[in-house]
Amino acid sequence: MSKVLIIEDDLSLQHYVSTLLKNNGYDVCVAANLANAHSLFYTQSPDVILLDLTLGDEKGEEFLRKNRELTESSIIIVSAIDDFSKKVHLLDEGADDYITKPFNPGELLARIRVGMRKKTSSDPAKQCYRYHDFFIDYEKELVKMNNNEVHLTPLEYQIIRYLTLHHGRVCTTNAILKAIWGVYYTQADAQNLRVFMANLRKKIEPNPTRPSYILTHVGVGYRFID
Amino acid sequence: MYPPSIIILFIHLKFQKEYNVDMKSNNKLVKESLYLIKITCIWALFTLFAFLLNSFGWQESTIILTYVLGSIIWTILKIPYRYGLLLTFANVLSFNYFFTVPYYTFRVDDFQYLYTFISMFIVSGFVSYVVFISNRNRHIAHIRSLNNRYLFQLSELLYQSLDFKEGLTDAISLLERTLHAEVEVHVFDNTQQVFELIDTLEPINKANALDSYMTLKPQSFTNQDKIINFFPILINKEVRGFIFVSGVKLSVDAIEWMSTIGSILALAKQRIESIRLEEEAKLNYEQEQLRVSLLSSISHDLRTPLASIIGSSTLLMDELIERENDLILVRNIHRDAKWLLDSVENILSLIRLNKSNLNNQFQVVLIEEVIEEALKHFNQEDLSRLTIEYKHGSQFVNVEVHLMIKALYNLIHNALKFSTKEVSINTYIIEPWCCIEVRDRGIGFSKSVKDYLVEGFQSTKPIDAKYRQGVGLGLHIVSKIIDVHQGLLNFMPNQTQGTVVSIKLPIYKEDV
Repeated sequence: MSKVLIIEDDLSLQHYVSTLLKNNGYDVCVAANLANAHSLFYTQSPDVILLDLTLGDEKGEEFLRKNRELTESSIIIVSAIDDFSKKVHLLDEGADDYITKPFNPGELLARIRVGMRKKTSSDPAKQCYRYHDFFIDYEKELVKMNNNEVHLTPLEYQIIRYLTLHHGRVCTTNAILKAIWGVYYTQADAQNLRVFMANLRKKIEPNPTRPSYILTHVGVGYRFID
Repeated sequence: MYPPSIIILFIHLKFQKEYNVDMKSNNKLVKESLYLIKITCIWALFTLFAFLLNSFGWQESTIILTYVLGSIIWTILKIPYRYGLLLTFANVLSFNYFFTVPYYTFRVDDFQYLYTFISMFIVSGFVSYVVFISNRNRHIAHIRSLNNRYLFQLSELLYQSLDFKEGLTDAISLLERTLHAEVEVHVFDNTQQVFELIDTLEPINKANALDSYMTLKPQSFTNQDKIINFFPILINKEVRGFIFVSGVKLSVDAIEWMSTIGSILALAKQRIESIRLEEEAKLNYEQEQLRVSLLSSISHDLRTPLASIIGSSTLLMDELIERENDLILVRNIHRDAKWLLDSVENILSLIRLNKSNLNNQFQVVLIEEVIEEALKHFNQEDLSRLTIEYKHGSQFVNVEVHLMIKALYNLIHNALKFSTKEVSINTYIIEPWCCIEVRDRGIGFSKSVKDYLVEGFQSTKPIDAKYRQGVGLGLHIVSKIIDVHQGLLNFMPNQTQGTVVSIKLPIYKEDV
C-alpha cells in the first residue's frame, strides 16, 4: 500500500488529512515535529511526504534541506504562507509541489497521486507520453491531439517536452528557462516564455480560456496536468 | 611715574565702567557731567606734563606738541565731538596763559603766537575729527560683530534645545543682557492664540500690536513715557507671535537686528514643530507596523483551522449524504467557514495594500493567467455558470498578483452571488487599457447605491441562501486594488438585467 507521511502540528488538520487519505486507501503516518518526522521517515520510508512549513518553533524547510538528497520520495509543501517568491524558492530547492492552505481535498489527492507516480515510474528515458487526447513522441519529436499532428515551433516543442517529462509537477519559470534558454536567460526571455505558453495553449487546448492540459501557477510556473 | 599711555588706558577703562552704569540709569545730566570730568582730567594731566617738560627747560615747540597730543587723545575715550573741541580750545588757552610771554595772562604780544594758536586749533581739530570718524566706524563695526555674535549664540541656543520653551527662556535672558531692557517673547501654535494675547493688552499697546499684525512690520511707540517696541514673529507669512522690548529706544540697526531675531525664533519654532511631527509620524508608523504584523499573523494563523473545518466538513458531507438534517448542519458549518475564510483573505488583502514596499511586489504577467488563477477558487458548480472570452488575445499587465487575483475573485464571486444565471467574463483592449468585464444578469443596483458601492461596509442580501451576506468589504477592496494599479473601476447596469463591472488596467509596455 502507498504510504504518506503527514508532517503537521495542527492536530485537527492532521486528523482531517489522515482521515481523507485513509478513506482513499493510503497508509498514513503522522508527525507533529521534526524529530518524529525524521524517525518516521527513516523507519517507514514513505512514498509521499506532506510537509507543513511552520511547525511551532521549528521550520519545515529544515526537513526539506536535510532529506532532499537522501530520498526519491515526493515532498509536497502544505502551507498557509502564499508568497510567490517562497514557493519558487522551495520548488527550486527540490520540493515537488506546493499547496496553499486551505486546500480543496480533490486537489490534494490529485497532487499526492502525482507524487506517487514519481516514485513508481522507474523508466526515466521515456519514449512517449499520453494523456487523454494528447500524445507526444520524444523520439520522433511529434505532438498529436485527437490523432492529428500539431505543428509546433522548435521552442514550443522544447517547452512541451520539458513540461510533459515532468508532468504533474509544477515547473517554475526559472527551471523551464534554465532548461531551454540555458543559464544566461534574461527577464525578456521570461516574458517570451509567457507568450510561447499562450501560443502553445491555442494549439493544444480544445478551449484555451479553460486550459485542461497546461495549467498556470501564476507567479510560480506551469504544470502539465496528470 | 607711569608712562602717559597706561594712565590714559586706566582712565579709559574706569570711564568705560562708569559709562555702562550710565547706560542703565539713562540719566542725561550724569552723562554730561561725566564728559566734563573726563576732559578736565585730560586737560589737567597734559598741563601738568607740559609744566614738567618746561621745568626740564625743553623748547616751546615740545609744549605745543604736547597740547596737540592732548587735543587728539579724547578721540579714544568715546567723548562727543563738541567736548573734544572744548578740550582743544582749553588746551590752546592754557598754552597761551602758562607758556607764552607774558606768562599767566591771555595777552598776546607776539603776532606769531596767534598764528601758532590757530594752527594748533586747526591741526588738533582736523586730526581728531578724522580719528573720531574712524573710531565711530570701528565702534559701529564692533557693535555689528557683537550683534552677529549674539545672533549666532541665540541660534545655537535654540538649535541645541529640543524643548522650545526652554530655549526661549535662555534666549530672553540673552536678549535682556544685551539690550539692557525688558524683553518678552510670545510664540504660538496658531493665529487664534495671537489674537487672544492681543486682547489682553492695554488699549495703546493693543492698537500698535494690531498694526504690527496687519502690516507684518515692527512698531515703536511711547506709552506713559515708556518706549515700547513690538516685533512680529512670522511663520509661513503669518504672525504667530511677538517680541516686546520696553525701556529703550532702538536704532535702525537694532530694529533690523531684532527683526532677524524674530526670524530666528520663527525658524526654531518651525524646526521644533517639524521634529515633533516627525517623531509623531515615526511613532504612528511603528504602531501601524505592529498592528499590521499582528493582524497579518492572526490572519495567517486562522487559515490552518479554517482549512481543517472546511476539509472536515467536506468529508462529513460525503458521509452524511443519506441523513438530510445532519447534512444541512454540516453544510452550514462548511458555508460559514468559507465565509470566514473569505473575510480573512479580505483582511490579508487590505494588509498587503498598505505594505510600504508594495511596488516591489509587482510582476509582469498575462492577464489571462491571473483570471485563470482567480477561477481556481471556485467550485465546479460555480464554474459551470461562467463563460470566458479573451477578445484580443494575450496582454501583459504589471500587477501585484495576489491582489489582482483577489480583486477578480471578489467581482466574480459577487456576480455569482447576486444572480442565478450565467456570468460572463470578457477581456478586450482599448489602448492604452486592458479591459476586463464581468457581466451578470442578476439583481443589478439602484442609482442611489452606485456612489456608495465602493465605500465599504455597505452590503446587500444575496439572492441564493447558500451565500452568506458579507460585511461589504469586497468591492471596497476591489476599488483600492484597482487604485494602486492606476486602473479604473466602473459599474454599469447591464442592458437587459443585472450589472456590468469593468476594470481597466494599463497595458504593460517594455519601454515604459
